[in-house]
Amino acid sequence: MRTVQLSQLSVNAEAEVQDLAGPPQFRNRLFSLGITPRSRLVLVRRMPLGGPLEIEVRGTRLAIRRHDADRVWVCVVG
Amino acid sequence: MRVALVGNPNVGKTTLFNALTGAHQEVANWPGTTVEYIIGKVRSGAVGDLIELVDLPGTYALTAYARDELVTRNFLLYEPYDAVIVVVNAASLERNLFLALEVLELTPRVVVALNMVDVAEDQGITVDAAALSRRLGVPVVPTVAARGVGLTELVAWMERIGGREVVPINTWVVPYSEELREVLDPLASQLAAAVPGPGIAPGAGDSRARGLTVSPVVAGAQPAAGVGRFRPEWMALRLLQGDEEVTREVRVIPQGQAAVQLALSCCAQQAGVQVELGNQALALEPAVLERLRAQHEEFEMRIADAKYNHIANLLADCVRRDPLAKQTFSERLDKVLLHRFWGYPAMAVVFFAAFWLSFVASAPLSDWVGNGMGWLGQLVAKGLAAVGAPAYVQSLTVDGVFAGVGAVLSFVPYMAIFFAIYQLLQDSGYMARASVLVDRLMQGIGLHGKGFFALVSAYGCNVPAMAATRVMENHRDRLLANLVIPFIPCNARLGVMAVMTAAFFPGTRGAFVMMALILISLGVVAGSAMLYRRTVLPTDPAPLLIELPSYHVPSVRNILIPTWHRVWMFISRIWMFLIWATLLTWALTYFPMGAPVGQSYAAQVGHWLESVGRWYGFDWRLMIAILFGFVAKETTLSTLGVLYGAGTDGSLGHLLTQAMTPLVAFTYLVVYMLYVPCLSTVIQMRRESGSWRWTAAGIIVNVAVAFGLGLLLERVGMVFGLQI
Ligand SMILES: Nc1nc2c(ncn2[C@@H]2O[C@H](COP(=O)(O)OP(=O)(O)OP(=O)(O)O)[C@@H](O)[C@H]2O)c(=O)[nH]1
Ligand SMILES: [Mg+2]
Repeated sequence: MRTVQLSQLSVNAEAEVQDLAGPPQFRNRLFSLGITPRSRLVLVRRMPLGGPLEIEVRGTRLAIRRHDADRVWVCVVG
Repeated sequence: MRVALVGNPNVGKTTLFNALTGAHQEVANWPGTTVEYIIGKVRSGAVGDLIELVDLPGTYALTAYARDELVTRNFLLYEPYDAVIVVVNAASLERNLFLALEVLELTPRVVVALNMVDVAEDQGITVDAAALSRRLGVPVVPTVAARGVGLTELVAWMERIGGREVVPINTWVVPYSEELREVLDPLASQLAAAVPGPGIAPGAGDSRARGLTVSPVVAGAQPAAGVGRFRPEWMALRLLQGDEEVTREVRVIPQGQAAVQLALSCCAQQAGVQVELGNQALALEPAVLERLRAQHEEFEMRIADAKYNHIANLLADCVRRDPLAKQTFSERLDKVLLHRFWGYPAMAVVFFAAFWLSFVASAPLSDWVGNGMGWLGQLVAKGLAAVGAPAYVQSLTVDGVFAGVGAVLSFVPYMAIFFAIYQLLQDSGYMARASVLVDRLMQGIGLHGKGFFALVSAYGCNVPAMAATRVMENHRDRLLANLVIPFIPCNARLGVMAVMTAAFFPGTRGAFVMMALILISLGVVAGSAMLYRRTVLPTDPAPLLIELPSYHVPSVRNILIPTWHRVWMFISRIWMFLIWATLLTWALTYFPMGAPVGQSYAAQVGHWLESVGRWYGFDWRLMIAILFGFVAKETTLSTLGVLYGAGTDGSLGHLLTQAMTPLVAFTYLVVYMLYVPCLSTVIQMRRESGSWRWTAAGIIVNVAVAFGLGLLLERVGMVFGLQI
C-alpha cells in the first residue's frame, strides 16, 4: 500500500482516495464532485504539456489541474 | 405555480425546459449578476393555470463556497417556488444523486427526472425507477429530454407535488451514523421548536421511506418567507457544517440564537475545546476559532461521506450494470482528439472551421444586410426628394437613421452563425476537451482554459466573444477575460488596419507590419492579463475542475433556441444606443447647416482633440475618426473618406499617405487597434461584468494603454529615426 499524490499516479492505475488537503473551498468542491476519502478513482490520461489530468470517479470523467491533484493523496490498489 | 429545474451541469435541464415550454419563454435578466435564469411557461390542461418553469444554472452542490453555485442556491433558499425538479443523469447516478439528496434535505417538494436513460442503456446501465422512487420517497420519472419521452408523466407529478400534495418523507433523508445523530437530533428538535413548522409535519424517526402515499396537506400551509420555511433537519446540518449564511439567518429567528449556540457547543465539545459560549461566540481567540472551523469541516466531510454511502446502498438496490466489453464511442474519439500529439492539430482544424464559418462565410450575409439597408435608404431619400423634403431631412434619413439601423443589423449574421457554432461545440462535448487541452498554456498568462475559445473568437467580433466567456464559472476569470478581450482586434478593426497598412506599406512590408501589429496585441493581452492578476484580480482559491461529458450529436432545437435568444438579447439591448450614437455623429458632421465638413461641429471637436493628437502627429481628422470609431469601427473608413474629401474611387489611401508619415501611420494603427473597440462591446462588457465600475475601469485602462503605448512607439521611433 503506497500513498502518493494523485498527480504521481500512473496512467490506468486505480487508487483509493486517502486524504484531501487544501483550503475548505477546494475540499468542498471535491466532495460535491464525488472525490471523498475512500472513493475509488482511475487516472485515465495526462494531457500534454503538463496540462490537467483526466480521472474517472464515481462513473464520471473529470479533468483536474496537476497542482490541484497534488493535494489529493491516494493509495494505489490492485 | 412555479417549478424550478435543478441539476448538475449538462444533465439536460435546458433541453427539458425547451421541450416543456416550447416557444413560450421569456428571458429574465437579473440585475447585478451576469448569470441569469430563464423563466418559461408550461400550459397544463389539468390544472388549467400556467406552470412557470425556471431553468437554473447547473450546480454540483448547494454550499455557499463557489460563486457559480450561488445562483441556484440563492434561488432555492430565498425565492418562492412550489416544487423542484431535480434532473439527474441516469448514466452517472452516483454523482448526480448527491445534489438530489441535498435538495431533498432542503424541501420535500421534489420530483426527480431520471434523464438520459437512453445513454445509460447504451452503456449497459439499467435503473429501476420505481425502486429508486420508493427508496427516495419522491416520484422518479424516467425521461429522454432530447426526444420528449416521459414529459407527460413529469408534468403530472409536477402538478401534484406543486399543488401541495406532498409525499411524507423521512425526517432524515440520509441515515446518518449514530454519532452524527446524537448531535443532529437535539439540534433539529430545538430548531423545530423555534420555527413554526413549514407546513409539513416531519415524519417519525423511522429510517425507511413510507412510499408514495400522497396526502394533501392542511390548507393554509403557505411556506413562510426566509429561512423559517426550511426543514429543521436541513438547518441543523448546515449549522453543523458551519454555513455562515444559514447561521446568520437562524440567529434572527426567535430562539434561533439558542440553536446556533447549541451547534457551536457541540462542535466545541467534539473538537475538545473548553470554551464558555456566551452570546459573543465569534469573539473567540483565533486559535480556538481555527479548531472550531476544522471541526465544522470534519462534520462536513462526514456528512458528505454519509450521503455517498447512502447512494451506494441505493444504487446497489436500484441499478443493474451489464459491463460492456467494447470501448464507448467517446473513448475512441478521445484517443485522437486528446492525443498528446494529434490533439492540437485536431483542435486547430475544428476551431479554424468554426471561425471561418462564423466570420468569413457570414461576411457576404452582412454585406447583403448593409447593402440592403443602403438601398432602402436611397429609395426613401428619393421619395423624400420627390415630395420636396428639405435636404437635412434627406441626409438625416439616409446617413442617420438608415446607417444606424444598418449598423445594428449587420451584426446579426455574425452573431447568429457564431452562436450556433458555439452552441454546437459546447453541446457536443468538444469544448470542454479543448479547454482542458489549452488550460496549461492559458494559465501561463493567468487566464482559464475555458476562456480560450472566447479569446480566439474575439478576432472575429468582440461582442459574442464576451458572451462566450460565460462558460467560466468563476467570476474573476470571466471578468479578466472581458477586460482583455477589447485588446484583440476584431474583423472590423482588422479590415481598417489592412486598408491603411496596404496604403502605407505596400508589398511584403505590409505583411510584416500586420504581423507586428498582431504580435503587439498578443503581447498587450498577455501583459495586461498578468498585470490584472497581480493587482486587482488575484486568482481565486476555488479550483477549477472540468467535467468531460460523453460526446453526442446535439439536437437542432437545442442549437437554434439559445442562438435565437442570444441574438435577440443583443439586438434588443443595443439598438437604442447605436441609433442615438449614429444620429449624433450625423448631426455633428452635418451642422451647422451648409458649412463644409471642415467647419462642422465635428471639426471643432476634432480641433479641440488635436491638442492631444499633436503629441502623436495625428491631425484633427484622425482624432475624429478615433472618436467616431467608437460607435462602430466599421464606419472608420467612411468617416475618414468624408473628412479627407475622398471620393468612392479609392483615393483615400493616396490622400492618407500625403497626410502623414509611415511612423505616424503605424502609431495610429497601434492606437486604433488597442483602444475601446466600440459601443456594442462596452455594453456587452457591462452586461458580462455586471458592473459599470468594472466596465469604466476596463475602458480607462484600454484607452490609457492604447495611447500610452502609441506615444512610446512614436517617441522610440523618433529617437531611432525609424523610417519603417
Ligand atoms: N441522449 C440524450 N441526450 C440528452 C438528453 N437530454 C439532454 N441531452 C443532451 O445533453 C446535452 C446537455 O443538455 P442541456 O439541456 O444543455 O444540459 P443542462 O443541464 O441545461 O446543462 P447546463 O445548463 O450546463 O447546466 C444536450 O446536448 C442535450 O441534447 C437525453 O435524454 N438523452
Ligand atoms: Mg442549461
